[in-house]
Amino acid sequence: MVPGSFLLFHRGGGLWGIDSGQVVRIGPGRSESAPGEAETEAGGGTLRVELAGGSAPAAGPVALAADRVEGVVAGLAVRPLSTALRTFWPEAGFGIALYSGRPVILLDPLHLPLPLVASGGPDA
Amino acid sequence: MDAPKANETPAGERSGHLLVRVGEQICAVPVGAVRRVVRALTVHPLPGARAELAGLAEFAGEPLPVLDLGRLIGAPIGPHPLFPVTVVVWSRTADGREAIGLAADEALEVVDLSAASWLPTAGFLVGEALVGDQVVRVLDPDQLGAG
Repeated sequence: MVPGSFLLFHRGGGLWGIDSGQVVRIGPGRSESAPGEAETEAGGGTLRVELAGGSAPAAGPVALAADRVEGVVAGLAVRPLSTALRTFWPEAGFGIALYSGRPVILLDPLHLPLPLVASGGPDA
Repeated sequence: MDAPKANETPAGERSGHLLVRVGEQICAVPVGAVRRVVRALTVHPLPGARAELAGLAEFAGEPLPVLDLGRLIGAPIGPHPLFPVTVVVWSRTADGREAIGLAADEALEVVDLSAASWLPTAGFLVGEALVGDQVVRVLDPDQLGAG
């Protein structure tokens, strides 16, 4: 079932989305460089997007690192990941959509891509 | 006997191929598989992707994976290639077809190639042919999704 709304965030030069119903908290994260970027957009800091993964311990890490949060959007036209994309991006994804003319990969909360997973705990 | 796919050229038959340059290498893409040649699309990187995937772009209102043609065929390229054009091709899949972008230096011309004259290779590079004195690598977009 397609979630009704997604939290969109920027990380590593890409735009990503996660079912907003899975997000329990957004806070400061540890300072770390995003993949492919020397510095993040927030002066070297990152945001930590914590997900409701407590009821699914097998799901592994339950926080994502974000450079910037775009917002929560509804009504995205979600398409499955194409064959070529699945071939060259060996991660699981819920689907893909366009937001303001920009591709956004919608993540599967149970199979988060490792480059997006926040390391350690929150700073604060 | 299976009928040849749209992007295949039966041996002995000549078919139009678009020559595309990337670095010093030239690829031939079946004209029937070419959807559009456009100025370089804005590509957004995808962390964790294989090096061949330059990233994602928007084309005709759809998300489009864009492959680095140079890396795809192993062509020697400079450290900061610009790839001023994107060749959008159709790739046939089990469910139909999908569009893929190929980041390249330039689209050159359309030539007729005969599959009988190719030196067959494997994967998405189905052969090598001579066009003038230039070795051209013939690409089958249908195989791009097969890795």
